[in-house]
Amino acid sequence: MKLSLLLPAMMLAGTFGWLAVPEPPPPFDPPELVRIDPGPIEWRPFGNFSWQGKASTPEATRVGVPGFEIMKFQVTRAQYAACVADGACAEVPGIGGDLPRTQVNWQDASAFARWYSRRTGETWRLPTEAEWQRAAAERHGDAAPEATDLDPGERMLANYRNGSLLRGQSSPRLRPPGGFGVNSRGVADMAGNVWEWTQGCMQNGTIRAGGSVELTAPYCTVRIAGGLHRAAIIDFVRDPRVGGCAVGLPPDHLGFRLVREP
Amino acid sequence: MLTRRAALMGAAGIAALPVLAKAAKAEEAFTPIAAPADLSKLKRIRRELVAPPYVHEHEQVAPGEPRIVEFEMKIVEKEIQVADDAWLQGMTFDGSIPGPMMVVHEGDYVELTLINPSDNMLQHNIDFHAATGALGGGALTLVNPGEKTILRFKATRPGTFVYHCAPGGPMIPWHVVAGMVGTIMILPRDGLKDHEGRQVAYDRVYYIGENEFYIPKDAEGNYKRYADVGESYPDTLELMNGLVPSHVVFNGAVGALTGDHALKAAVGEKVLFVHSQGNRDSRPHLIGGHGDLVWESGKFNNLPERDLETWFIRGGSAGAALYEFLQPGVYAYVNHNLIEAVNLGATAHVVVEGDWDNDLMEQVLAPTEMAGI
Repeated sequence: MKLSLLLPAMMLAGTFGWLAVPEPPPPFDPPELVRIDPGPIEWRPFGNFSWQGKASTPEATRVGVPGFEIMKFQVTRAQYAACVADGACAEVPGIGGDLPRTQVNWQDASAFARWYSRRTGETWRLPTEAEWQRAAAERHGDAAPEATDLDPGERMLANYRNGSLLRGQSSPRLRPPGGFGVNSRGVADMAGNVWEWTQGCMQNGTIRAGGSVELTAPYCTVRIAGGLHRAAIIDFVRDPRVGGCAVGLPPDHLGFRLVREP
Repeated sequence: MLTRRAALMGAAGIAALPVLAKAAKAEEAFTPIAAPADLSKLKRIRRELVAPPYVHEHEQVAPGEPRIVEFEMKIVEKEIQVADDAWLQGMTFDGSIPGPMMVVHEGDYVELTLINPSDNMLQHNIDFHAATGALGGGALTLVNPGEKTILRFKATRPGTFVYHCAPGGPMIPWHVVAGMVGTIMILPRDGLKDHEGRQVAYDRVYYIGENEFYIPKDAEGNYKRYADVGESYPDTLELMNGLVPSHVVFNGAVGALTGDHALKAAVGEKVLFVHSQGNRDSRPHLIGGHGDLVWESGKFNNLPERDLETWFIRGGSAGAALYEFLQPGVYAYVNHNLIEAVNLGATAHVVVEGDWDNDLMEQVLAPTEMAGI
């Protein structure tokens, strides 16, 4: 084989993890996985929607989600540290302790997924929004106002009320994996105080007569994090807390868990 | 512990301004030269202080002759959580940061009983910017743990004024940034007046005390916690002297006035926002609203300014802004140094109920993708 052909082949092998010398397995036990069966969710895209030129909320529609496997626990500080030690993940603040990896932005989470895929020879990725919602089951939260015909004041107040209600008396103190218990699907710590990055992008669209949504192009600099209430976060933000946005309640922490593709 | 406590108390005494230390020592043997003021004919009224952002019950227009208004405050040294991940070895008037707001009328006498419980570690006192003489009362009120003192002063100047602890030397700024600062509002006897001298009333008053904290971090970047207030002093002093706060907050903690604790109002209500900062300049701004009448320096003998977007609170002063809410929704009341508002904590929310006014604002076109661009 000519060198000119061999080189691209080697690069390809490196990228997809086959043909090349196998990478050593990751220096921690494989994470516990939960199998989520195919099934429906009440789906509502997240973002800016308008109806007759005014801000509005799309109706939820029933959509099917194919089955998938998701980590039972969020990626931990120790697991992420292995990726940092390998030079494949960025160093982030807060180390040590048996705690979920927080202070990670969407890029960090995606880099971990790439590294972990390479080291295992499997395909791991962030869940889609629909997968996260399906896995979260009864713990999926959404603060969007229900009605579509609210005036701007009512929309702001409803969103704020819903957000405050969903937050309840939650404490921002991080807990070890499992600290928030498992949900009805056996997935641990969904919608505790760590919001989880998904692949979802902020959507824009118009609502048609009858309530269906015509989506326009997604805005993927803003990614959706699942949690007590869905949050739209710029993909390079690691710490959403502190004083918060002008109005509305920011997530306490940002972390993630991965889905394994079959 | 005892050693540190003794050392600190010693330091407070030695480092105090000479005049202050002298006044403190002379206090017990002090024989007044002038005859005591005869106030026996004045009515007395006792006010129970409430924790900010609320203010104790009071009349806006004084009912009759000047009175002696009695207050009592206990000084509480305690650790306070000021953010998700940060704790302050706090010193407080009456347990809250800021200390509670007092309201009297011009010509009234303020009579404060100040208690320093024996389980505290440090000496404290109170300096009222509204009072005349003796370092604002500071020279007459230095109390050791296990002591109490009573100070009476005449409220001669109408306005909002800061009070704070000032126990001498480097103890002064430290006690203030540890939380010992509050506000007194002295109303004109006939109430507040607008720029044309017409009486104005408020439907609600909210007291926003702004504090900046200097909380040291350890080598790993986590905020340090300390066993007691004395242990926190050396690291805190070093950080304070760099003048870069770790937190700038309203009502003593990040998020103290947001979410479930957001302030409430309704369209058509006039709300008086009293804003104090004991140590550092601030610039309140109500996002989506204004200041209809603003006493920026807080002194009611001056005409209020009108229609302000942002007003300036000098460090060591309190100001007042009156605003009638015209539109429902959620408002953010911030320090418009937006780094301090958003990243360091100086944000409050006001949740306002009522009917939307499309004349004042209308969404003509919700964000919509532009075709062909």
